Amino acid sequence: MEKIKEVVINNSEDVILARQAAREMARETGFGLADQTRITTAVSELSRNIYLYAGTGRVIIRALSKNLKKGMEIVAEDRGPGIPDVEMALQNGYSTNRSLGQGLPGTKRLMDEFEIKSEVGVGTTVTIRKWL
Amino acid sequence: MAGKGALNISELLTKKEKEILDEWVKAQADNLASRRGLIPEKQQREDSARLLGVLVKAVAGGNLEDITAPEYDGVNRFLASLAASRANQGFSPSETATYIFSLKNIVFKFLQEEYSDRPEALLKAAIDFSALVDKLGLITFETYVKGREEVIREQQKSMLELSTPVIQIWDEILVSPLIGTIDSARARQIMENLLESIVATKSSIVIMDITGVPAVDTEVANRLLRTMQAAKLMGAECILTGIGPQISQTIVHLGVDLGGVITRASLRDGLTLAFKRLKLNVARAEG
Amino acid sequence: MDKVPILKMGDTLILAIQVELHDKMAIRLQEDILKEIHDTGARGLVIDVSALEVVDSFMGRVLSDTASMAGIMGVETALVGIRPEIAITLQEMGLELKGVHFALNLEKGMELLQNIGEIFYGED
Repeated sequence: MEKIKEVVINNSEDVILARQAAREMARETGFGLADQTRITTAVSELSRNIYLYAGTGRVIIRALSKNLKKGMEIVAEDRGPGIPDVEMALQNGYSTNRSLGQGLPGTKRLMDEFEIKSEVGVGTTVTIRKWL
Repeated sequence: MAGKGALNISELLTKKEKEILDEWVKAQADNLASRRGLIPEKQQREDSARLLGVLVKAVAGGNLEDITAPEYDGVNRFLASLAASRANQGFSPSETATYIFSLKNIVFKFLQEEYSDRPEALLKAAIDFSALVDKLGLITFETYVKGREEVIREQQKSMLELSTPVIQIWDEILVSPLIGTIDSARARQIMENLLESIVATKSSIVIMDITGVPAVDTEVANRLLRTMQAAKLMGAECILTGIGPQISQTIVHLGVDLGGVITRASLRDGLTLAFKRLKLNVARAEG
Repeated sequence: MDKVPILKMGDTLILAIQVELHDKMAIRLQEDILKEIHDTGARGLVIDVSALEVVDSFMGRVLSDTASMAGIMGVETALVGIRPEIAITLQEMGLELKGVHFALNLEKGMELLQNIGEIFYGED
């Protein structure tokens, strides 16, 4: 009984849709208010990055269940320009677009697991997980 | 139907369901759990009848291997509830599993009677059925463990809550007396409790007292600072109190930047400051 | 609803963000606020965010920028009603909101700005 939601990101309105989908699933999974907000905020960052840097992409939100552990996984993928220096992008204060420059590192701190794969000219995939 | 090829266990189970049940219940009457009087015979019979019933349905399609298949939903559900109710009645998990396993011997007996002329096929059927029942027995065990873990988790949670009290000691003043070691789970709990209390009590000053915290390292200091900064975002001013000579030395030696947080040596001093901020006067009554 | 109403009480502007704003709306709100400050000569600005369920780095930036811009125009800004879970998230992300005062609710925010006003400008 795996639950999956997919949100296609084309503009800033879609960021809100992705957020709502994430919050709903977080609530259903049984996360408390603080964790719901952490997850929703992380999804907001990732989906905004998609439309800011790649134009389009998608966010896949999935409920996880592993042995006794329950959780959520979010995959944000695009075929945008890719990030030339992932290490640097994960440092505080890095941002090529005017944001607080905390988007990616902030997202990482909000979640339990964070993986990023990026190739210049191919695209970027960020996978984040949070366990209950 | 004793035809050619593999033996049809599901057919045997369906055909002999009633007899198997009778034998099984009879066998159970002699086992330890029944003798301990933990369970009335009537319930024992009902449980066994239901288990056998759902099992007959599950194996009807010939699947004796994959108990995660949808046809086993009923079996899985029943075993989970059985394990839970037996645990409540005081059965040990191995007693419950043994009860499930005891079905093997009964079915073997019927298999033998039915197919005594075909020893090889009989052996295979026995092995298959045995493997299936082993899996079912393990389910009850797993359910038991799961239930235990649930209880442990609940207890951990309530312990966390107990160890992070937030007290409203005056209008708009909260005190959070911290006692013991602060790890990340507790730091998180402290933060959430404190911030929710600010909203609930409409407080504007929060005093965090660390008199009871044995040691402060960079990690703990940062967690406390973060909590105080979060409180500030909600419009509450934070005062850190209960800082003894040792802790103040540690903080300076570690080079922890308290980032403009107001600190006081004792809770008393912190409270005095809080009153001052709220323009409150504490005076001895005249006469 | 795609425009956030801005009210004026005394010399303070008050607005409550009641819906999740997408980025363009947020930028437009910033422009509206600055224009309103200019038009009315307000001295204080109170932004009520108690209805917001998410403040991410972009929204944080917009709020912080707005306060800084208002500050240059001589206006003190109070951000009121940040929910506990949002305060936690902002903290953990390491987002700093600069140039803003914080208060628990609208009433306390007004009070706060009034006190600051008295310190800065004296009693009228």
